[in-house]
Amino acid sequence: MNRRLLAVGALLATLLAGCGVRPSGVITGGPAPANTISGLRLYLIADGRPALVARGLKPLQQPSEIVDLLAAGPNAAERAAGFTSEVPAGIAPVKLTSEGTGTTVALAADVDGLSVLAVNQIVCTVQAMAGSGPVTLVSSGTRRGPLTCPPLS
Amino acid sequence: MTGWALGLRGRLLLAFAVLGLSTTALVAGVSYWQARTVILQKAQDAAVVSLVDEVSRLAPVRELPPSQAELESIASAVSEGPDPALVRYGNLSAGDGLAAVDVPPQLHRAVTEGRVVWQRISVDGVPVLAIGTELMADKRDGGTEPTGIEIYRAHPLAEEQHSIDQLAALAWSTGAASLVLAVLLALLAARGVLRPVSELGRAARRLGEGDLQSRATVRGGDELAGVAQIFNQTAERLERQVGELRRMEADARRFVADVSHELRTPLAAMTAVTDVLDEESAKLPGDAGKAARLVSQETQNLAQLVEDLIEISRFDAGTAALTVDDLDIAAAVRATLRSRGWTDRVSTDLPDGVTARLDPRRLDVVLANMVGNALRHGAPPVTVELRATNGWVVVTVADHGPGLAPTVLDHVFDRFYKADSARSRSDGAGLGLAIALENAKLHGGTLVAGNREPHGAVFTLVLPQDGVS
Repeated sequence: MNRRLLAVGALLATLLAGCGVRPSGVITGGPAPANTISGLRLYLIADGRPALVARGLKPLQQPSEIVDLLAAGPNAAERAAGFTSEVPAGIAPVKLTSEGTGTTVALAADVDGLSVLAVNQIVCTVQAMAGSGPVTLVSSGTRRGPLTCPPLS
Repeated sequence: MTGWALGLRGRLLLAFAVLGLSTTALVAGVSYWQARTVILQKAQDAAVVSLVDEVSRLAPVRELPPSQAELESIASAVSEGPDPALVRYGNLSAGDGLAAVDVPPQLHRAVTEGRVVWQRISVDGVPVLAIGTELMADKRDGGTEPTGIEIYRAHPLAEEQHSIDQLAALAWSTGAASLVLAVLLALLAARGVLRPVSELGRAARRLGEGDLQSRATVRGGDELAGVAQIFNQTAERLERQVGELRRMEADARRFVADVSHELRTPLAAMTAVTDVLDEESAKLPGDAGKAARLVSQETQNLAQLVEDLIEISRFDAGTAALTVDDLDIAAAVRATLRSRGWTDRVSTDLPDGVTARLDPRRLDVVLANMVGNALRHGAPPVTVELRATNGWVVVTVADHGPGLAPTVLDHVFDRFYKADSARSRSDGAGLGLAIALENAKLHGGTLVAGNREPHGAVFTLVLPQDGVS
């Protein structure tokens, strides 16, 4: 008799648990929707990783100016939001030349002196503007690359 | 075993109710669950698709990190009707009606993985679907990358809950209806089974009460019909055998009656002859005289036996008739004693004025038997007492002999029963008390034998005062 009561209780509990709209766990769906960015794309450092920023500026006169902007570092709003830059000011002036699908960036400073993050900042920024071809960094006699921007997460 | 005390009807009811309820619960439960899942799924998918659609149609982002104004413009573009939205970027947030604290932390964590996520939560008891996604930026190579802007929207599910509650109500009412149906069906089935059972029970009870013609109705060809058939066959056989026994007994009684009647005529002749012999026996010498007296005595005994047998036969055949008259019982007792010549041997206590409607001849037979037995088998003094109580006349005859042994007491009214097998043959055949009892019963009274302290047998005759009722 007791076991029968238990069985009926369990059945009722199951029925009641299935009733109504209950809170659920997190359900994962498709990829997040994307939108275009109308501003200039730059990659600064946030939380130790390259991160996208956009600046609503008028179009650049020279493509190489984008690297100059990187060397100039974050503006006030970006700094307030926690962005930094590892690209040293001394790399300017910069020259960009297209070589086939890739791009070559000639720097004024020694390429070997750049940190990995700084290189990634430059590579990602250049790729965002000039296309997805590999980027090679050169300075007087030394070169790094061809390189591509690592996927950001 | 209280479960078995439930009875056939109760058990059938229970079984049908459980069957009906469990089937309905299963069917209704499964379809309810399925419908609920479909309703929720559709609502959720529609809400997610609409948010994704609106996010991908937003105006292009001009600045990252975005200004508060830009966040607010995104929030107002995304919030729609009753669905509040929230847009976050780092420490900044903008939104109407949805605060950052309303977003569950696990949803916030899941949003940063680049996919649309949602979660059902309960806000003040109302179910709400919280959808979250990060705004991605198109890349030149066709891929996307995170912008750090998170968009949340809450979609209330009250309408869906209402639909689901209606479904549940429908399921419950279906269950109730099926329970009612099951109970009705069970009652119907129980009636079909129980009616033959109770009929069989009634027939068996009638048979047990002695109605040998009791039969059960055989309906259909099921197991119950088989039982009824067997019952009928048994009852038939029983009736036949009892009938045969009765017929045999009746035959035997009729034989006794016939024999007695046939013996009566020759005995009458013989009695006449022995009367002559009696007169002459005194003149016959020696053994011839003794033999003549013996023949005369035995002929008288035989005549008495035949008379007794005829009387018993009348009782058995139910032809014994009462000829009642208003009697003074004290006078009747005195007359009996006087006619037998016992007046001097018996002490009496006979109050005058006790009257009853009785058959005088039969009363005389009973009294003579009681007093005669007391004088023959008991020891003097023999007493006869008359009492009247509550419409009954009670005559008690007691002696001061050894009384009746317990084995004798049980059989004292049996036919041809003799307490002492060595008893003299002249004492009679042993039908006297049997006839006395039958006479008492014929009057609607009784005759009881017993013993009394310190010793002595007591015979008590109880007769109704106002005749046979």
